[in-house]
Amino acid sequence: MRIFVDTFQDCAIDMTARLQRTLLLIIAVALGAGTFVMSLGSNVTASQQIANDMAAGTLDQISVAVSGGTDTNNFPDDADARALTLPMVLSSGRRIDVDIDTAQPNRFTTANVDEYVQGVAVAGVTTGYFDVMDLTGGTAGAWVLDSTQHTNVAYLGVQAAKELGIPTDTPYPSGYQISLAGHRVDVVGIVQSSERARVDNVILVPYAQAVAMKISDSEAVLTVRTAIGAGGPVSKALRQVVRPDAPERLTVTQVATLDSLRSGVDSQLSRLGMSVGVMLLALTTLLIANSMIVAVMSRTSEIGLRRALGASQGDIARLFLTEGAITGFLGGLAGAALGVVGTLVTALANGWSVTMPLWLPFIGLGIGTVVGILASVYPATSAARINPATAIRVD
Amino acid sequence: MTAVINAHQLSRSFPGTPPIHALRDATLSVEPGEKVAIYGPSGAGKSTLLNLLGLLDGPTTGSYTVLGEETATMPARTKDRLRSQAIGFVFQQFQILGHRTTRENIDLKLSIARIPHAKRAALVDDALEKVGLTHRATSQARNLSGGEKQRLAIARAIVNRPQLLLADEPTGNLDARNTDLVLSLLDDFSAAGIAVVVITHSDRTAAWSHRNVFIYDGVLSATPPRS
Ligand SMILES: Nc1ncnc2c1ncn2[C@@H]1O[C@H](COP(=O)(O)OP(=O)(O)OP(=O)(O)O)[C@@H](O)[C@H]1O
Ligand SMILES: [Mg+2]
Repeated sequence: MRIFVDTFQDCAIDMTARLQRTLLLIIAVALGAGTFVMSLGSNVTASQQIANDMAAGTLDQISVAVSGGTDTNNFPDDADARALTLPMVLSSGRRIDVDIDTAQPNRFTTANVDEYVQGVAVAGVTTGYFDVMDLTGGTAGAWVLDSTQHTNVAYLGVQAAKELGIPTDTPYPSGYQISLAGHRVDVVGIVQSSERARVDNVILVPYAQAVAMKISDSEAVLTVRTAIGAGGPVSKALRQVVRPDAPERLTVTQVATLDSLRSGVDSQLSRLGMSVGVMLLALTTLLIANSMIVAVMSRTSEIGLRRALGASQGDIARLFLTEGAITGFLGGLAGAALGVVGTLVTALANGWSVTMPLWLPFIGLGIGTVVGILASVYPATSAARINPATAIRVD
Repeated sequence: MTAVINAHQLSRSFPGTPPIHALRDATLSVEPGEKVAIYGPSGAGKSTLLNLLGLLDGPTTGSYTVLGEETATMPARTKDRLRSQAIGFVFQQFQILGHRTTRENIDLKLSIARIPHAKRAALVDDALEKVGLTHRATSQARNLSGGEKQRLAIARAIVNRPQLLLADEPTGNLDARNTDLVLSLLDDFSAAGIAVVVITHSDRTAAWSHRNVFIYDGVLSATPPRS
């Protein structure tokens, strides 16, 4: 321990005597370590931001499906309303897809045609589905979708409307009919897709109508949107609320966690920023090494003197390694501060919320110190090899 | 009493074309408390001999025992330890660190010898007082006068209470007053039982010693060579 105190004092004396050089090297390390920390910090902040954005879009959705089997009436008619009784549930709605051979969608003609329009899909939805998926356009009368009567109405996605020859310039085209499963159906609205659901090629019909076509609701899915962060508790209570008599007939799925996606983004961004930081650090290492080699040469007689006074080769090497470590440590300290400020500025400039991991400044400190020590390995060994007898011959 | 220095047929050659035989078959022994002056012209091999005696350099051939320890097979760490603890060396060029204070220059020797901090201040004070530099303790060493630097070099050599003091022309650049001052200092050390080996050009120093050894062209002799 005492050796290190002594070595430290020794270095402090020499480093303050050559203050300008010392400061220059510290600044060099600070820039290298700072850039590294900043790129790291910005990466973390950026990828966290991306992950947050993705999470905001998806992690507030919960799906409830039927556990299996072909039972009918798995969902009670008021399933949507039941889900809404839970706190933190913002909206809920059901959807059931009808295969095209069953639905046989077509333009309405009085003639009897066997063909039907391809490239469209048919789904039964409840009004709540519009809310859950943020669907817009022509939804003013969407309550008809909840009708349990055989109400022959349909909403069309934009693409589906085109396929069926229905104009899409008005949200409420009137007087148009299509044919579904041989029935005449009135078109009551054109629906726009949202980020949560693409319904461009979908023909949306009342939920009960679709269930009737399929005979069973075993393929229906109830989707619930919750306040952010409420997914866990809501999903626990959901089955109980929807089917208190037989919760086991339902399966709840929270939208998958995005960790894998997140780490993918992380590593891509990190590699880029890191390589810039690493290059700067390599440059800094060379700079310090060069400066220390010069210092060792100019201090040859002092090193020889130390050896002559009894210092071992290890003592000499330790002297320069310590000097490198101190330079690196101080530079790393300044670099950590620089990097943290840089990360904050980057985050603010991009309007990101700041995610500053606690270890970030320590990375800067550690990297600075390592760079300082690494840079001084060669100078230290060459200093240790100086021959005292020849070194003290010179003034 | 065993000899502090026991050198037997030490030779040291430096590679070159032709090789330089700086020292040839030097045999020398010095007892504790003895004052020996090595006297010879420039280039005769005086510093080469002193470097061997001070374990700064190794002989090409010959054997050397210092303080009872044979040096031929001695590990480097042991030599380092002897240099830091048992041998005081006053270098031909002062080898003083100009950007450090007088006190720090002396303390360096103790720091290298791993003497605990608590004991150092007293040892440094003692050495400063012996050489009369107490009033210059906190001066930057580069600002000291030639005589003061020489005394600082001596203070550093003896601060750790060595058993052997080797001085390469400690009076070389000094006037008569300063020379006497340094010689009387060396007398004190010798009286304390320290073996003192001094290289010199000056008759004054040669007259002061117990014994003079002459060196000419790398060869030692007890009598001045006939010219
Ligand atoms: N490292 C070395 N390499 C080559 N030659 C050397 C080396 N050291 C000393 N010599 C040579 O050895 C001879 C003796 O040198 P040394 O320094 O011992 O002389 P000296 O008696 O101390 O002289 P001075 O009184 O001028 O100091 C000289 O010719 C010198 O050039
Ligand atoms: Mg000499």
